[in-house]
Amino acid sequence: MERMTTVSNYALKRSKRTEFFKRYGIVLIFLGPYLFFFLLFCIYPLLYGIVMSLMKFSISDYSQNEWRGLKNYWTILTQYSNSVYSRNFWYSMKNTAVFAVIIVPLAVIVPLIMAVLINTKPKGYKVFRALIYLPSVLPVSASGVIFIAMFSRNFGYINQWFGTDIDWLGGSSTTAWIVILLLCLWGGWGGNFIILSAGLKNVDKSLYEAANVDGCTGFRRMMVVTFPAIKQQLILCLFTTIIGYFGLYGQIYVLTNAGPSVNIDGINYNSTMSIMWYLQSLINGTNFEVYGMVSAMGLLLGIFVGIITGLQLWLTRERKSGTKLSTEFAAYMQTGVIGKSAALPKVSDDKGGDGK
Amino acid sequence: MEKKVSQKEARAIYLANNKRIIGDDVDGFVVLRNIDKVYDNRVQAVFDFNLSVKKNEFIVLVGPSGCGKSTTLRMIAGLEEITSGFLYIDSVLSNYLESKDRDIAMVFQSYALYPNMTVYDNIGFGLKARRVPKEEIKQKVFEAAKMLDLGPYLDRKPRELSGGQMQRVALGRATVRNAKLFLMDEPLSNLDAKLRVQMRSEIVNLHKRINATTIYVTHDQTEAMTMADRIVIMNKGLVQQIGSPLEIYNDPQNVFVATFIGNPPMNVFSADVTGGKLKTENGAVTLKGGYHETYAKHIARRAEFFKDFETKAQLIEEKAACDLIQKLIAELKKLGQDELKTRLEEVCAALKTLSAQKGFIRFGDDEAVALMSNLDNLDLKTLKRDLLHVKQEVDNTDLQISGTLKKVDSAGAFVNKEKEPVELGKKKKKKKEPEVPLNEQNLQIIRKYLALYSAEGAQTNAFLGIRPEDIHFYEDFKGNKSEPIRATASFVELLGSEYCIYLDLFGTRIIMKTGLGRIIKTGDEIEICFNMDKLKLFDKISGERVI
Amino acid sequence: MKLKKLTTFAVCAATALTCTLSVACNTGDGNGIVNDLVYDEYGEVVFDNVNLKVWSVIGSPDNKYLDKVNTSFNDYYRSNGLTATVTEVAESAFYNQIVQTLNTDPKNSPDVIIFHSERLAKLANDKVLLPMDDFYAAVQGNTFSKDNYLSEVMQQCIYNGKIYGVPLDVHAGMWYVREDILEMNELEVPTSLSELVEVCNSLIDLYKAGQLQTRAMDKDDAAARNWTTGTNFGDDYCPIVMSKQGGIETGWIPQTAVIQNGGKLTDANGGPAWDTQGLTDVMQMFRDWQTGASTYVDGQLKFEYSGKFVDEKNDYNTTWSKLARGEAVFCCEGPWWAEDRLDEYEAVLGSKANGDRFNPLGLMNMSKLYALDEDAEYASKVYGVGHCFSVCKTVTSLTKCVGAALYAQYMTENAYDYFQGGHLPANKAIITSEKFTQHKSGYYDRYVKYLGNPEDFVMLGSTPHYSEVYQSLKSVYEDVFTYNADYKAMTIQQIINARVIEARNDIASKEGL
Repeated sequence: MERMTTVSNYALKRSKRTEFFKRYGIVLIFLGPYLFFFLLFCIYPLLYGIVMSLMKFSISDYSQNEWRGLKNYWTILTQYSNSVYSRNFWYSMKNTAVFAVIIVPLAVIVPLIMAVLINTKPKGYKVFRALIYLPSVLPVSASGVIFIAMFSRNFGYINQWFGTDIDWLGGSSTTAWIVILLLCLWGGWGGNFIILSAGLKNVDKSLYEAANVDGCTGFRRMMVVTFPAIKQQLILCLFTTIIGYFGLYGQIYVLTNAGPSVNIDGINYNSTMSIMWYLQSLINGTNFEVYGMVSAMGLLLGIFVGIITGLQLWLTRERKSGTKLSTEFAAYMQTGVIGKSAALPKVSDDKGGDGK
Repeated sequence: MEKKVSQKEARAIYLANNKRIIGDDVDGFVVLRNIDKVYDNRVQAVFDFNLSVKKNEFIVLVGPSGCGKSTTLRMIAGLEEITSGFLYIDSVLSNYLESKDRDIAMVFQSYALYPNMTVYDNIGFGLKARRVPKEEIKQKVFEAAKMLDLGPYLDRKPRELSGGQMQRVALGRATVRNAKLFLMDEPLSNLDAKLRVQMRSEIVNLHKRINATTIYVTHDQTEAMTMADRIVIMNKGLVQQIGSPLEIYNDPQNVFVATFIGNPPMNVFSADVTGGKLKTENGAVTLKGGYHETYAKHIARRAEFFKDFETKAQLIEEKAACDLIQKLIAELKKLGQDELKTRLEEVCAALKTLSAQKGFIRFGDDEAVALMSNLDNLDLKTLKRDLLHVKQEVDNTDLQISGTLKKVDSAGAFVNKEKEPVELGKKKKKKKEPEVPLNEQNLQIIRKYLALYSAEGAQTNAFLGIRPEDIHFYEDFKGNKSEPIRATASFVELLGSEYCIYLDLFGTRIIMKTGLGRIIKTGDEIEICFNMDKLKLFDKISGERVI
Repeated sequence: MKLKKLTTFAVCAATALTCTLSVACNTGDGNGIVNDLVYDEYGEVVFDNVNLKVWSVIGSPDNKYLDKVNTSFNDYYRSNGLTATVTEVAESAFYNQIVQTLNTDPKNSPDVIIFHSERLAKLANDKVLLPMDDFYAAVQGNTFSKDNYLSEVMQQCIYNGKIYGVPLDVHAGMWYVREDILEMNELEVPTSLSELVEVCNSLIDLYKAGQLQTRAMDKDDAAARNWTTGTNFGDDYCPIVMSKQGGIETGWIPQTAVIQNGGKLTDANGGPAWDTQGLTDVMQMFRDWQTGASTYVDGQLKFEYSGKFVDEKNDYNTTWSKLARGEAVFCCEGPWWAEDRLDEYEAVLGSKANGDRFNPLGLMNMSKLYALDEDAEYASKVYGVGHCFSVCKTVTSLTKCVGAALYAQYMTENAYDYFQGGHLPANKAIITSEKFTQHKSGYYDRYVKYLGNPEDFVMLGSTPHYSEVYQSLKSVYEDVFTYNADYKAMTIQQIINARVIEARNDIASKEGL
């Protein structure tokens, strides 16, 4: 049976329908291509990786592939003394985490100091700004070659200039890590520097003046005005830097390729091995059946980074304003006394805020 | 004047006084003496500012944007360097004191509340920075909160507040420190109209309660009129008039003040003043006795002024000759010995002429001979230095002249509405443009006025000013009224309690304000008259008030 | 609403999961070879324009000689409708790329691969390769037999009793010797470990006495080419260049050291068996060479040294530079550089063939060089590595398989030109043929004959754990030559134990996946 309607109802319905398409059709048109590629290149590999991580997966011989359940995870998480995968995973995770703990503050503070200095606009600051950003223009492979030329044992400038004979990159893990750290710092400060510079530029000048009038100058003024004002930029830098250095790979690949070896309690490790380098070395190696394990490791790494990021989000969240002071004020209005004794009459149903 | 001491003594006294110099002859709480402000890009924002603020006074600096009022305030606050002149706060020479040592409190246009702090912390921050005990801070903040009704918001951050609340927090922050001096930089300009009116009275009440000396900057003449004990009106970096609101309203000293103060502003129109009559295109008006005579005297005085003016113009033009010498010297460097000699003779001759005309350049035959005889080992550097010295002296004269000129120029700002050739306050954008030398600028201004004078000087035209409420219906007005003038109401506004009637008269638009006694519609023919006691007369060229 | 979203998500996830699972579990077994053989009236296989795609791991400088052989194959078989195209793939990516291509892009995958035979067991185990016995059987009257090849080398190409590859060559790292310096100082090229030690001691003694005559191979500086006796090489004269960065040294020296002292590299299961006393003793000797301390074997004094043999500051840059300056006499490199290096040295310093007094550069194979007991039967053995031809599992046409087999056979039986690159033939017929020993380029007499006796070469042994077994042994050598203080503090036994345990752990972990 045909449905009955009035013309005005029909018009209303129709306009609603076109409205709907106008609103969501556009969204779909713009989002569609991205969504497609997002699904294809992000979601599909992710799901594929999850499936792989639950298997023994060989890329050379699919007949070896078998369902393993959570065994790969179990191996990584519990079989530290039995499985080299677990051992190397944790060793490289430890390396990465320790390195991140050292580099992240440096990679934020050093650019911050430079940005603050540049923000005072000294003479020729544009040149300084360009010089500071310059290393970030170089790809890691290029800046890595520069560093190798500097720190090589026999031909390095450092050893030549200072007359030393230190094998920076191969002699010990400490010196190797120092060189990696320097490369990361030097090659990576540009991004944070730009973000922080932009933040500093937008700080309301009248805030500095207000602080001046309030009797606050120099470093104290920076603590009160500058840092809170660029808090968002600092958080952003912190986020991207932490996540970035959990993916530390290029610098290590170029400089040390995870060497030199180190022997800890009779077991050899690649001393500058980061988690990313380890995963990469497994993937590039000739153990074709290790892919399930690598997937599990990759997912675990993702989860760790997620936890750290979540923790950071939680720590830097905007805190809601409380009512402590306004309640105290209400009490003050009632009693005319300030302090703990005055807080007592708060028990009366005064909610604060309307204590006139 | 301070007595002169040697450098060493000065240092000893300065340090002995703990770097605080007490001005003995200071006659006010805040005293600004000959303050100039020239920015790095050589734009001068404030000229020769003199002001003495009494204790507990509420002073309002008012003027159009770019007139230098904020710059003046910021110089008092110590946020801008003072180029020259002296600033005394509470008798202490404060030019070189840091903001925090001047014991001032300031309210900013943008409030400048610390966005990361709660209202409580914002208010208490000045105390915290001065290491006041916590309990005392709390006491003071609560008192301020009580006074400003901020109790319920103490825990909030500035972004959770409305504009008015933020404004009150900014006020609270300023009051809580019991500073000697309050500075407010357009504090109400970010508020909506209704809130502005409300906050206006709150600030006045606050001032009454805490009784701190206050300097308040605004561009809104209503605020100035309603709040100030005394008003300082500024234009183009110069003070136009200082006085109580009533003085300024009733006795504006020039056309600028007349047209800036009052809403709607004073009607100013041009008319011929001859034989005790005011001849307008809409008929003649008989002036009060004595007007004519005073004006005639003024005309005579003016003629004398412009004579002086012409000599000044000459002086400046001669100065251009001096520049020519400079250029010559530069070229001398490229020449051979013989040529150098001839050219140098030219220079000497030019210098001698200049020296003969003006007393301030010392260059006679002796100097010329010395210069010429020493030709072989002539040190061009020394010569250049000598000439630079000459140039500097001439420049100084220029500066003196430009002060006078500036004053004249700024007073007539609203009269000469064509684009000003020199707008010192607004030159920030085009830095790269070759700078017009000061004497060129002066010359341009002088020429402009000379041109004006040659056009108007011989005539008896003057500007007349009458406030809208001093124009009445001819029949209704009982006072010292003029002859009736017929006019058509080209537009009528009803403002509730009164009418604003726009009349096309005297080649301009005249506004009158009147009660609701009659019903007037647009297009009505009406007969009006002036209250002749309130009629003001301004000089046509300089804009200064004559009567 | 929320529920709806959840459901949608769940459905999406489930779909994607099914898709991935179906891909992941797609176990294409690749054994479906179609018998499409056609014989002509003479009983020969008919090829209808079969082109073999060949991937080769052999890179510069010897790839050009392989191409020569490949061209001759094409010339020979083109009329039969069979040709081959060789593509060179860098070794670092070779094996990974092959398995990836075979599984994800079979159309572009190679039909035949030329690679290192020590990895054959691993690839055969992973079902990447096809056994070739049947392919030869399909050709009537074919003369192919595994006995035609050196048995030790052939053995490396056999997995589970089946032939998976045909060996092309066998080769090992070489010692390059400054013969002119030895001869000028009246010393002889050593042929055993004791002689090597003796020669080195003499060199050091001469240097310390200020009597060592040296000259540099410097094509720009004529003065440097003159003989001098100046002691301008610092306090120590270290006649041997060895370092942990020497890729050739790590790949042959520790392996040969195991074999020359009676050990084996792999056990029956393919696990590491190289942790022998012989290796420990030789590595201890190498460590002594870096310090100059005397070497003891079984508590008995074996060698005494006049000074350091090896400068611990060597790296890959110093391998050739020290030899060129005359600062060292021995260095280890791949045999494929022999031709180029001889050309270079002889062009600058002349040669006996051109009437000069000296041959500036000579070659020395590893036979007996690390044997502590030089009289033992295994003392002359050398660890060898070979290239071989194999057929990939993506070939489904039997005709093509047979073509590939014939290609392998032809290439290995006729590769006379290839050995100019510094390899020894795996095919017994070639070893004795005149086309090899009297090749027109003269390579045999110039350098190939110094590479050693092909019969002496011993291979890794069939193991699917190539990288674990081999890499860890390389690491032992690196640990001995590292400047890292941690390893300097460890005894050789500790180093070897740590590395062998590492290899066993790696294998166990891999098998436990």
